[in-house]
Amino acid sequence: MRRILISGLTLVFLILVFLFSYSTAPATDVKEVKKEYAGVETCQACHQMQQKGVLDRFPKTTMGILFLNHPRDAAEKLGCETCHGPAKEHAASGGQTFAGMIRYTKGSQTPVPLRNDACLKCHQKRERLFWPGSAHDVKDVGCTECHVVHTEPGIHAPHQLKRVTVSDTCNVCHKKQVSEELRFSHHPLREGKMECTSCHNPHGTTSPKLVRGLSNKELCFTCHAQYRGPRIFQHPPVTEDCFNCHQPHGSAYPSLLKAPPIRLCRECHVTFHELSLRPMVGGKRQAPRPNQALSGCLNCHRQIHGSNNINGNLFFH
Amino acid sequence: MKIQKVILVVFLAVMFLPLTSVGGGAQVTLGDYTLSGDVSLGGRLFIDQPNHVSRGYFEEYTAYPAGFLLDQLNLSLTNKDASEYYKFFMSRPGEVGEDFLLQAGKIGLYKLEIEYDQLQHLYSTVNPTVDQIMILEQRLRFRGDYTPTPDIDIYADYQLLKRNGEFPSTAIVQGPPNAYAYTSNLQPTAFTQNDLGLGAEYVQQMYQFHLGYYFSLFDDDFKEFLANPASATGWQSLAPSNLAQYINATGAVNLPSCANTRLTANFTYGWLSQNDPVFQSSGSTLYPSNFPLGVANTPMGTSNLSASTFAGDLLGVTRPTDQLTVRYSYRAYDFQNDNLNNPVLINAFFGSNGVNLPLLKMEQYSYLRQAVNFGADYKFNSKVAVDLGYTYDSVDRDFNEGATSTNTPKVQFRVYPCDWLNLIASYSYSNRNGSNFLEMPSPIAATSVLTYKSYSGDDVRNLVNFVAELLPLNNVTFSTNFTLYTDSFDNNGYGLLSDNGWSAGADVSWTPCKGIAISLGYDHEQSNTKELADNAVAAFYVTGTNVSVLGDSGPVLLTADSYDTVTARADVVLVPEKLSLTTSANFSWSTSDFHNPLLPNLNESIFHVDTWLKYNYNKRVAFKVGYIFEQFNMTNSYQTLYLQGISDTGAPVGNQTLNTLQGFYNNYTAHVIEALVQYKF
Repeated sequence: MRRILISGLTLVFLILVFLFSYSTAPATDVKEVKKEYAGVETCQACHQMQQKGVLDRFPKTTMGILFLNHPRDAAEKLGCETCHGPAKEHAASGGQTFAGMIRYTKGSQTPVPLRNDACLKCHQKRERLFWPGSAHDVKDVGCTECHVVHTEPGIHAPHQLKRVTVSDTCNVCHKKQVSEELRFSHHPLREGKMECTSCHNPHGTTSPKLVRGLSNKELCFTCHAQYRGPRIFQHPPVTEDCFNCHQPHGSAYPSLLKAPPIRLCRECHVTFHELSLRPMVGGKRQAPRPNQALSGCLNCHRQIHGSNNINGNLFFH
Repeated sequence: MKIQKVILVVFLAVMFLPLTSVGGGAQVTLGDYTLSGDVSLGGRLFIDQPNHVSRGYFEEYTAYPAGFLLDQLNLSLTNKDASEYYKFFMSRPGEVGEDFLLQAGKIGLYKLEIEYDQLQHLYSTVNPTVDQIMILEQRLRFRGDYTPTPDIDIYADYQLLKRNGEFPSTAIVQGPPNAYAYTSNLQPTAFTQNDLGLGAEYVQQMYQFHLGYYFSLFDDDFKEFLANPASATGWQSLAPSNLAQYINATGAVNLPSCANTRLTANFTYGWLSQNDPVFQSSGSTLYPSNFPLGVANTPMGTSNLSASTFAGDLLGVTRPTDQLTVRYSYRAYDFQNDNLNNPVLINAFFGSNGVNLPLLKMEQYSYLRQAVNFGADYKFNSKVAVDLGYTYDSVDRDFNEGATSTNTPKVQFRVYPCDWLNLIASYSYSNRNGSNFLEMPSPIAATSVLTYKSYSGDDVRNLVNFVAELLPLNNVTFSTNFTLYTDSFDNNGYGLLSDNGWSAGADVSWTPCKGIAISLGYDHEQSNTKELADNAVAAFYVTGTNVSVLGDSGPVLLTADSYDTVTARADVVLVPEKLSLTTSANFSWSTSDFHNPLLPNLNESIFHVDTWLKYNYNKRVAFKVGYIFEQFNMTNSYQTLYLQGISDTGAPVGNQTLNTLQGFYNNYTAHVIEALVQYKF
């Protein structure tokens, strides 16, 4: 069955490759349509006066340097109009009309998918391959809701982000997840050693929840390869999905666990012994140590992610 | 310290180099290149520093030493139009957590990066004889991107990750049916991980194609560890070295003539292997003669395990009109376990009655996960849009280890009644059915398989989300959100019976005038779980007792968690272009109520304030003074419980010795002052 599935998918894949070879870009030769374009100098002539800051900063950005000084193809030679579309009519009207132009400012009449298409013409690769149909695309999130092209602080912020950090950017909509980072058990995001984008690709993925990697567990194994296995004795929830037990955004319980350790284990296991957890020291039973209360079953079943010991069937060894 | 001094000298030389140039503070030119950058240095002092035993949480991931501080140094060497650049960045050199980054590139052609950074994981301990328990992670990363033409991208990424140190753990000394006794120890860690990624991409406006290869070699220097020195069989095997490789191919095509359709196909195939020596609890390595089923001349000293994964995705989006977007996808994820006939496993699962095949299959099974998604988003007009979606996903596990299927229809409404109001509401209903699982024996016996899979129970989930965003004025933004979910696990014999929760929050941002921006937010989250537990065999109670101090026997276990978070931020320009104030505060507190008088509630709170006053002396020089306050509190009752202990009946007993090595999160308050000079050149 699986072989049939794999073969079928491979066939579809080959058909797609076949389609690639017969797909041709629309015949939009830049030279032919150049008459609709005003040219960078025209843009500068007016906007130098009105938005001096923009024209001061844009040449310092990656795209500014590329478009204005080192265009690699005809599209990049269009400068401002590479992204904003043909502006000859706009210039001729003295800035009164925006016919055919793509605008990104607040209140723009340009539909979000059209705005995004302008970016994707050059950026539909790598991280953005799965943008169409992704969670953010479907919700009409515009590229410029997170990124800036020619205004501060984009010049200094990584990836030309609108806000200073990735967390700040995501926090606009994902407050709950960012708040969870404040819980005592957390990944080092608030310490600046990780970012939301360490685990998520906001531009789209094949995995659910915009998770990078083949699946949740492959994502976790990127840094936590010690749990990757395979091993002689395997704990099935580990084999399937780390999130069966862990809450990656932050938890009130140790090791980012989803629930109190003892109770978490009991979601799947019938307990075969009392949960007293009292250490015996010098023949005298003592009260539980808080760490033991917090660690619960893991005090004994230490190798809970799996064991490579021939006696590790109960994950003791 | 020596490193700090060297770095300081280098830094000072770099810093004063531009000062010596003509015109004081003018940019330095080196041939056709311009040197620029900025540096931020100063000092840090504590008004109130967390003590030794409290450091573990305060400095869990970042060191916070007092004294000289080189916060950041940026150096940039660029050609005239900045199309070619060489950049160097370092942060907090000499401290644990230091970061060095070197970049070189030509915009639009290539980019090279080398980075070295550190991350500490400091563990809390109350043991006065231990200075610190820590694992230090060091990362060295190389990355190269080459774009010979806008159509072609080639990249290589290599990362060396090392983790060294130790962390606290326990080992059982005496188990049931006797009293539980543990020994506290430090488990050594010496991991090395080599990751290599290679890829190439060919891109046209109408189609894109990507090929990638990923290689990850994990190596553990410590293969085993004597967790319980008092026992000859107190050895534990540590994480085995392993290897993972993945190849990936992705293709996407835009078909504008087919109702604006885009199709994407993605395939990944991965191999996992592990061939570490096989140890036993006595610490000795196993060889063929040690295996009960050992076959002569068969090398079984190593595990020789392998598995493979395959993932395939087909995704499509069609936009026949501006109003309608239709999306559809299919995903298959196949995990193939190749170890069922592995002689080491057969030996490991060999018991008095032969190989315990049910248990072997319970752990070493393969599974296929599939998901189908359909969705349609229709915009009636600029004010109303609706999105309908449906997801079917399933997991099929081999050997009667169960099948799970889930149907999830969902609907979302987006309403924009006016320019200043956005409303989004969504509802999804999810119905999960488990089947084909092994039945739990009844009555439960000590020899029974321990596991009951929670996902074998049927689950009905309702999920509601609501977001309202208001922009009543140009300078005010207000948003509020609400989420409600209910999970009902109807047929669960054990484990979770229900899981319900809700969260609500609101935040407001206000810019009363130029130079002042204020934001304030609050959210509350509540979750309640109900669980059915059972203690199967009374004979395994702790000898001589039938009352548990942490009596969490059940049968019904209720857990109620609540989380509250307040965030505030203010950016104020006190004197235009001269003096500004930035302050942010987060206060988060939570309570976990276990509904058990013998199990104290778990309360924790963290309050963090960061305030910076910045004075721009001129365009190049600025002074910053920061005040950082952090206060952490975690259940007093836990600490009381530890320090006093309680008897079987819950009454306090005498103090205990603080000898554990394990995590014990102490309350602390930290007041920190940082003063920095920033210089741009």
